[in-house]
Amino acid sequence: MKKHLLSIFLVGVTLSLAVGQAEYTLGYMRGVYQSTYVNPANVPNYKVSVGLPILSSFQAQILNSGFVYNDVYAGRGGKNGDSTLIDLNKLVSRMKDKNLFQFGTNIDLFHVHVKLRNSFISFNVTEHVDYRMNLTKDLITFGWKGNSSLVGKTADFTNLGVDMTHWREFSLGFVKEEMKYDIGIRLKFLQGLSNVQTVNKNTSLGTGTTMYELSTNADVVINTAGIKADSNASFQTPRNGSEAAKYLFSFDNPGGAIDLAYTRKILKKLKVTLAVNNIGFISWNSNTSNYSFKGNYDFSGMDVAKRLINADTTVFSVAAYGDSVRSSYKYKYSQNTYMTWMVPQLYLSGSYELLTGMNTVRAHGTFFMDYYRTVWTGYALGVSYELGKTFGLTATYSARYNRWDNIGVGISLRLLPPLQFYAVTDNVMAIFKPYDHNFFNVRVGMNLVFGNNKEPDKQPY
Amino acid sequence: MILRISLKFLFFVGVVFLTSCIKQEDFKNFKLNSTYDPSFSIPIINSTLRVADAVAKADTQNVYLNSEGYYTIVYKDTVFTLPANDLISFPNQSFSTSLPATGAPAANLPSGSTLSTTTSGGYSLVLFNGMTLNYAELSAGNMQFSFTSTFQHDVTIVFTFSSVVKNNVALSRSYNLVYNGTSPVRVTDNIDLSGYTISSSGGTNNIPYTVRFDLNGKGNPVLASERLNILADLSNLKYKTWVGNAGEFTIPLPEGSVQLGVFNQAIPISDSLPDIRLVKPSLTLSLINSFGIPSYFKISKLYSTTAYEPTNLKPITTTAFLPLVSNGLNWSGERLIGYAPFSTISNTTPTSVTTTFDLNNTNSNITDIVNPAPKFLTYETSLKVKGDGNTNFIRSDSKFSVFSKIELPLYGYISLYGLADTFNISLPDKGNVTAVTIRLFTDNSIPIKLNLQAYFLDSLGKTVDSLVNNSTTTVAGFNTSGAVVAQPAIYDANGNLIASQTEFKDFVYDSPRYTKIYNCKKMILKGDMISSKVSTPPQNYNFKITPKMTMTFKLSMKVDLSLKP
Repeated sequence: MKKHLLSIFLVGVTLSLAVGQAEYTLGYMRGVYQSTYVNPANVPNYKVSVGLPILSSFQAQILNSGFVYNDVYAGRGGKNGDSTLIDLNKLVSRMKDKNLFQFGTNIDLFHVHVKLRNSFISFNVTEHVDYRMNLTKDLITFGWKGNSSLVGKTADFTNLGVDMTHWREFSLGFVKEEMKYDIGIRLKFLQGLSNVQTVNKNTSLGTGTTMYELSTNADVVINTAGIKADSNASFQTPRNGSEAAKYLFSFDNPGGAIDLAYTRKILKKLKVTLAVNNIGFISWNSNTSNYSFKGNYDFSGMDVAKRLINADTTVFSVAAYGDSVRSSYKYKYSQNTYMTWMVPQLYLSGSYELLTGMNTVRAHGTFFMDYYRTVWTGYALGVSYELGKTFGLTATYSARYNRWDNIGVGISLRLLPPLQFYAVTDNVMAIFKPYDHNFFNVRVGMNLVFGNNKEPDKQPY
Repeated sequence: MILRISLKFLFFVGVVFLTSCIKQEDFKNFKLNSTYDPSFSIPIINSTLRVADAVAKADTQNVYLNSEGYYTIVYKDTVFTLPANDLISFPNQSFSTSLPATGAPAANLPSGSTLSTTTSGGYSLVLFNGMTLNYAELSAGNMQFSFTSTFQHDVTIVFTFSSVVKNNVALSRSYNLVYNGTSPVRVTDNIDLSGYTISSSGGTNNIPYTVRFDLNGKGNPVLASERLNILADLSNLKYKTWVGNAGEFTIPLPEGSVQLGVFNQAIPISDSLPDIRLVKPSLTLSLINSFGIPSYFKISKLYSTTAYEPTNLKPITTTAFLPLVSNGLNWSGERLIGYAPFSTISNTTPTSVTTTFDLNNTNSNITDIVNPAPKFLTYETSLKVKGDGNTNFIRSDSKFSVFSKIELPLYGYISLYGLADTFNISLPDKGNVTAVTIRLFTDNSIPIKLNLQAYFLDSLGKTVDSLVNNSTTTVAGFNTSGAVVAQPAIYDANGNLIASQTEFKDFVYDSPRYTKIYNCKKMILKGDMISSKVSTPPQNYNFKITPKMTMTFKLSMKVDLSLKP
């Protein structure tokens, strides 16, 4: 029975090991203010933390959940070996039903974090750029192998889409530290700058089993905002400094979001935290364009009998059916305002202090979940070490993006107070073998920190 | 200092994290390591042919739903029509006479005195074939008169046809010829004969006339050699009604053929001829006669020919035409046909009398004629006219026509029957095609099995491949029987559908085969229709075409491509 339960658990974990944008290692680095981005209820080690523009935090991430470079790399070729050979058959075989390509960055423009009695108040301004493209395996299969490989199936392109958002976040955080629990809340005002959103409700191509009857559906709306566009999807980017300034400082697209976290101190050394982040939206109002494409068309063959009976000379006219297809799909352009939801995240994590005092060692574990077109999950285990307030080292092992071999490392250093340097990644292996990994993130920065939040316990001897 | 340390730290991290292991050339000049081999499957045809729809759009004069609920193909044709004027007509003709003066004095005829001469005679009307005219009402015609006098006197002429009457007035004309010291003196006249009735006395074709001419003296002598010459030209005589004895003559009628379009494309299958057995085929000849003359219909030949054996004349034999009797292709005897009675001569429209000859499966070999598929039924006939008495009549709107009607009730069986046609085709370039699979599906509620074969012809008309090539039955290397693309539906003895039948076929063209055919410009498509094999008609005949029958035909194609990167 246990064996079966273990098998079911492993299968379930494997199936749910999709993608997400968690920063596991950062969340375990209590000595760094930016850890509150992951866990708003985190109680930092310092009474005051100040971030200078750009220097305090630069974060970037890239992922391709479908495959890694070496999955498709087939060696060198071409004349004089100057070409990189790609094996698309292998690519198709490696892809999952849903595949996310994502890259993004966020840069702290400013932050300040201050302790007031047993509470902390923070304020930060952060620039965000996020690009996501969701690809379905059916689409790649159709493009590479044609629809013969999809006979008897309905190729689902509903999850196909591109989303891109540039926004600026102004957030006000509050952390309350109590004996039995900590709570954290962060209220965010979001300044939407530009957006591309794909709302794909139903797009599919079905191919019948016996006679290859085709059944097509499309119900897609692509919304854009922040950048002028016309009905032909011709975009007009800022042409001079004035227009760029207008773009960067426009508050026409407001939004709001909230992060909530609750940490329960179950035992003296054991804490469990539930954090729900990024619950919010942006209302897009400036330079909006909506490109709607909707319709369906089923084609099981031309009805030649009626045409032959009627002596229609266009019996085998494909053009006539082309017209039917076109008339079955309606394209509509509008300039309505719209709203996009932020990508909500959930962290359920726990930590246990193995050692306390000057050398603090904690063990961590996290379950992560977010929602982007579908639910993505991830898991992490980690160990953190703190040498007083001077040095912090964190190592994590995480399973996500269909990979089980993500090793994360985070380091913080305060050799020259009040300067605190830190760097963290969730997949250090990608540095050494970038072609074998599908994910990499990094956050580096320098904070100005002042005052210790808690004095280390005295040595017992 | 702080800034320097910070920058060094960031630089170190950046170098380590972002650039340490990525080779720039690995992201240049991407190429596929294999061919691009997509395969696309698409439906081409999905069509349901309803017999009722096809018939509704067809020439409804050629197809009808009979009282028993199944279709009959009908071919009607006017074999020929003989108009009245082709049977009896007036030839252009003329008559002349030269008249001396009677009672002329020995001395000169003094001025102021008159010498009268009256002469009666008869003009013998010229007709064909021993006909004799009783009377004829003329609708058109000209009489060109010419009077020439050699007398040295003025002449006054009165000419009268007593049997050429219009409105009860005989045709009569007067003319004056004035002598001015020179002779001869001539006068002409043109008389329109329309509306006149011309009669001959006692059926002798004799048209009596009277001429009186007066010489008005000029003091000159009247010589014995002097004459009044009369010339009359009759032309373009058309009758409205002709009554008399039509005489006896035979008119060979033009050869006529009825084309059976449904069998146009019939071709022999392999070494077997088409085998068609219809339960109730029939041929009806209708002779419609509105001449008031006893007439006899004669047949010289009556036969059928097929499209593929045009020189094989297959005689039609029957007892329906007695006393006309066939002896192989040649016939003997004649058959009196109905004709209009004299009492109907004045009817507003001509009265027609129809004589009908019905050939069916009980009195002829018409069933055998239909099998194998004939393309033409050909007639060689004639009409013999045999007048009696003097009341035979013909009106200008009378005619003699022969109509044929062939009925092919679609009830029976068909076996090894080929329909072939040629189409222009244009196939996708071979370039990237490695294989083509044509998938075919039929759902048939018609009690006929269909075989299909297609031949691909190059620009020289040479067959380079066939649609089906996996059979052992081949001619010149190509399969001739094709593939079954539709199975016959199952019907009970009462003609009720028990179950329609489906058929599913894949025709695969791999690269070598497709290489042979992609350049072809023409395709001969041949279909064989086969109903159930039967041995004892009519009990086992199960081939009936009814309006409810349908055939669903679906065609799809799978195309495998290979493109080099």
